[in-house]
Amino acid sequence: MKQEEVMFQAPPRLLMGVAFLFWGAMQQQAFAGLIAAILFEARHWTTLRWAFGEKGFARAWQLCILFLIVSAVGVFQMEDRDPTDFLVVLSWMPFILMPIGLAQQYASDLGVPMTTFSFIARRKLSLDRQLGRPVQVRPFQLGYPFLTLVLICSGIAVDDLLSYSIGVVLLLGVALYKMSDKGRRPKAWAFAYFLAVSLAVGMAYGVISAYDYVMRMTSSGRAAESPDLSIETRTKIGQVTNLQQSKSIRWRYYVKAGEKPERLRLAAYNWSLGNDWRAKLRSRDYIEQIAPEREAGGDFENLLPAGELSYVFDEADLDRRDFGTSGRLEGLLTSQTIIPMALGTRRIDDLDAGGVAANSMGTVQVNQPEHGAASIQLSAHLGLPAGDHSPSDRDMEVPLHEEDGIDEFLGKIGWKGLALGELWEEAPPVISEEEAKELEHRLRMEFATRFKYSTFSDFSRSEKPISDFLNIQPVGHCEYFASATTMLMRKVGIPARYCVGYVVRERGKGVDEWILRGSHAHAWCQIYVGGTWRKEESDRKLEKPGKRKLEEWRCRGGRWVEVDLTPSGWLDERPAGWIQGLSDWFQKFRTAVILWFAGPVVSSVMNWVIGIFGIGLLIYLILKLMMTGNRNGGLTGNSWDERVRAQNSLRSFERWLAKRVGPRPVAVPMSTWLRAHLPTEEKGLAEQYEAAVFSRGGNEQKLSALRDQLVRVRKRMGRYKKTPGR
Amino acid sequence: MEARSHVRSIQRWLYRIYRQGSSAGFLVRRRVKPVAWLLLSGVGVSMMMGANLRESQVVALSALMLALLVVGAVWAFFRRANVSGVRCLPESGSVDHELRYQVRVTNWGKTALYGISFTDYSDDPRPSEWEFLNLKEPGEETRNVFDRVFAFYRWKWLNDRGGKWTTTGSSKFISLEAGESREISLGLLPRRRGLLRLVNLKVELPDPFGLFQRLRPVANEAGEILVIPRRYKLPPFDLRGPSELKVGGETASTVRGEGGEFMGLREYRPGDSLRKIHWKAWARTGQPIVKEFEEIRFPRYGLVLDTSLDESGPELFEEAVSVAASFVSTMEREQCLLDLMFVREEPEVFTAGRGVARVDRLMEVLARVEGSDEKGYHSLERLILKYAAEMTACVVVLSGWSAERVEFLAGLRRAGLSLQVYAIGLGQVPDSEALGGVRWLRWNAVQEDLMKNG
Repeated sequence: MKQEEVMFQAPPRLLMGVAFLFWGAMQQQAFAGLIAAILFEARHWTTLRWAFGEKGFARAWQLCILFLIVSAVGVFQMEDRDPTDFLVVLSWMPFILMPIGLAQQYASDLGVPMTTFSFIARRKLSLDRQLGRPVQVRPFQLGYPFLTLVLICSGIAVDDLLSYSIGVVLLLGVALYKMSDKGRRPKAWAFAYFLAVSLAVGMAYGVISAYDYVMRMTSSGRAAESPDLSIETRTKIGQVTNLQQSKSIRWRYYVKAGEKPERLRLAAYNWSLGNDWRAKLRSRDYIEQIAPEREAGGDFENLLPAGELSYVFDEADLDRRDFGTSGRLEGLLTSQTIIPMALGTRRIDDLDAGGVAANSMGTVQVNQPEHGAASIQLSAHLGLPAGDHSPSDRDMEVPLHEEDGIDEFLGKIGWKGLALGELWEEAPPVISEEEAKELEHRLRMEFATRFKYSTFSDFSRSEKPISDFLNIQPVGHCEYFASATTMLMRKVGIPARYCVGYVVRERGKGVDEWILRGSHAHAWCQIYVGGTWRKEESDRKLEKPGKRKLEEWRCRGGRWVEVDLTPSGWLDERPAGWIQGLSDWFQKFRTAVILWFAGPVVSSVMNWVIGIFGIGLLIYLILKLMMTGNRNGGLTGNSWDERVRAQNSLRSFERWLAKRVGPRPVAVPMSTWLRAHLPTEEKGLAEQYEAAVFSRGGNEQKLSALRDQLVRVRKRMGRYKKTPGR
Repeated sequence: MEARSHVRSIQRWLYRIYRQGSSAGFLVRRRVKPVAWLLLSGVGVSMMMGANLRESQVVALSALMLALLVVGAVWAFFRRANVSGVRCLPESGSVDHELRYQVRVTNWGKTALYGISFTDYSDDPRPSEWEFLNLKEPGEETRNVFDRVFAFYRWKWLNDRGGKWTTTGSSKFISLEAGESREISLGLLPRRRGLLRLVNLKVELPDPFGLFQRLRPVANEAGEILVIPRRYKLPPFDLRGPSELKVGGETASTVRGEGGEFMGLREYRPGDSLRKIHWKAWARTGQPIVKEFEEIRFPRYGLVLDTSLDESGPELFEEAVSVAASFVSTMEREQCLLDLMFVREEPEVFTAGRGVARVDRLMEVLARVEGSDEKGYHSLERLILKYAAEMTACVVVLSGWSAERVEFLAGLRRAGLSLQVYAIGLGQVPDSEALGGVRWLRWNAVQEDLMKNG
């Protein structure tokens, strides 16, 4: 490869390592960051080098592309993916591109050829060579571009702006200072950097404010169109015609006390829009308005802290310990994770997170967990209400276009639906718990005999998917059974909600361990029984005098009960293959490692180690910067001459003597200079120096003797005064 | 034929586009450093990857990088300098050999200048339209149709060849107090022969980050360096001819007369010069005795350079000059006289060799010789024939191939001159009967063809 001048220098020692530690700290992946830092910095401690050449670099780049494709496919394969998953992939880009980064670090080549990153350019280069044309291969050092990438990725999918900004200012500052090596003017540099940082603060503030303003305007516009819409909690049914149920483990649940819950619910929904279930915002004008200090965005409300790592839904549970059932949930967390919980869960313990919030449907979301995994204690009391608010008239709504179909089906099974549109002038009829049970039993029989469970169903183009499912094509998966149950219950006057989550069926190898896989994902219905309807008024002050007081029908005094009418046998309970076994083991291992690191002792030790290491690095960097600073007045530059001087074994003595007799001119050998300036009685020092540096064998001993000699010479020459100005 | 003219029209249009595009490129490249490009790319990537401000904080990094660029650009824009420079240049240099020279720079401003550097910017490296339309990069015929028509690689290749010279980089960074003078070292690499004029000395005023730099002119007097042509290695050659050897003498002798080694004494023969009489021996023997010297004779060669640009062009002419310079350089080591003949408005002849003038003189002439649109082959032929009787042989270097040149060569051959003819041409050897005996040198593979045809 014909080498041209390489673009950029290599970053100084430790800078890449510190950048990866910073990435680990920001992404809460300290272990991964530490490993990457060691891998990158080990270059300076070893002499391992490979001549990768154009082909080797191209292979490394292809490996990066492969990693990227695998990561992207992995995200696309996730059933419950959301846009933030792509951000997580982006945040791992330094690791995805690590092959090319490490190839650069451990290459004996000075830089990576530009052609590495383009298949077409490589082909052209190869063709040119075959035809004997002159070719130019432009290499560039990948260090600083890679460092920039690490800094960018450190800020993705995180919310700590202050820490990120401080880290970026420090690391980019060091990088830029080292890059502007030639002609560096420290004072001007510092002033200009201060200006740039100030400007950046203003710009960032402006951009964030503008973004918030635009988002606020957009969301308020959307809210005006449908004021009750909450985009945070929604689910679709029937959009995936053939369900792909993953066997990978999502959670592990350990029963600690009481009965094993049959189901762990992720979310509940109360508003049906055909194939789309959504959770309407709580009635903020009524009694459930969120106190400003507990506002968590959207319909979510922060739970009450019951200790450092504990949260409760209700003040009454702050000191309660006698919960009927409890269990421990273990799994991996992202920046925002909805956790599955048994109905009636009232207390959450051992959860180290930025916040835990719940919406009015009882859906609980963990925000910004401190670690990538958690082992959470969940305590429930089946007899008491938890986060689920009491039903209102919203839990009785049936889409108009579905009403006839549902009535038709109810008629077939001997029940009669209410005319829901005319209900609310007076209190709706109360359906007793027994009646509800009877209907449940009747529906169970009907579904078990006349309906068929299938993961393949196609109601996606239907305008009345539930009616069609009940009356025309009685084949579908759990989402249709759950949706149909919810609608049927509502039509006869029982408040009901649609729920999604996991069934707890597969026993794990540990004691009281239960496995929750993707294939255990399920949908069911929850109904409210035993309550009575009453009209409630808002306790909010009226904004305009004379405006009618707001009223709403609420059903109070009852309890929520789960109703799952999907015919049995829907669950694929075949044992997992060996590949799945390996994947299960890895999931457990990964969770265990993260939890081990997150443990209080290990965590504090790691924090200390990383803290001490970081401070040590900082001190080292400062010392290094001070020592390599420009001491040469106007003439700067990392020239050969300067490097030779810096490496000279007499450099300290040279500085001392230079202050007395003037600096050694460029290109004048040390021994000649010593002979010219040392007093006659000390001339032997020059010969001694030459013998130590240029003769064969035993140079270390000679140098050691020379240094001792220098100490004596300095004492003897102490009478020589410093030359003023030097 | 029509298609060819269409391609030429397209390439003329492309030439204008490339030329304008590259002038903007030069303007930016001289002022924006690679680190700035890195930051600019970083801003773009970070804005894309961190577009979701709710989920990421990359906006802090984007803003910082953008702020660095803004501060750097503004800082560099407001830098001022009032500097003069005096160059100390060598008299001459050679193509493709780096030259280093000193410049004494003085800061006439009222404030000190910190972290500045200097560069002598070369002239425009972009090719002329003729060069773009007629010169082809090596192996261009093997490129695909698109590349051949759009000729971007040709443009790139011609640009890389540069102008007459290129700078080897900026000086070291220095600081200049108000009124202070310092000496700096600069370098240049001559690419073409001739007189180099250095007029574009500039002081580079970078921002503290080294992202951008402002270029300010330095008051300076133009400097000139004569660059002698590139020379090729020639294969051993033997110029035979019927002409008589010429009597020569020691070039450095201070005594007029014949040179050569003293061989002995002999009796006087009528016609011997009185200067050769050995008076002491005559006195001793009583017979007129003369001194006998070894006879030194040198061959005299002609070197004819075709300066016509007809059916040729500047590039081919340059190669012809280089080939002629190679002969001059090689013959310097031979014991001979050399007549360099060419037409510059009117026929010219410069003779160098033993006892006449140093061969360096011919190199200077070749460094300055210019091509001409005049053909002038008849007058050149008359000039050569005037000296034909004294010449052993004649080397003719043609800068192209045309009917006039064929006729010119035929005229020389008719006069019975021993000729060795080299013709510089575009592409492969033309199928011409008249080419017999002419050594064809492809303009872009002269060295290879010289060794092959030598």
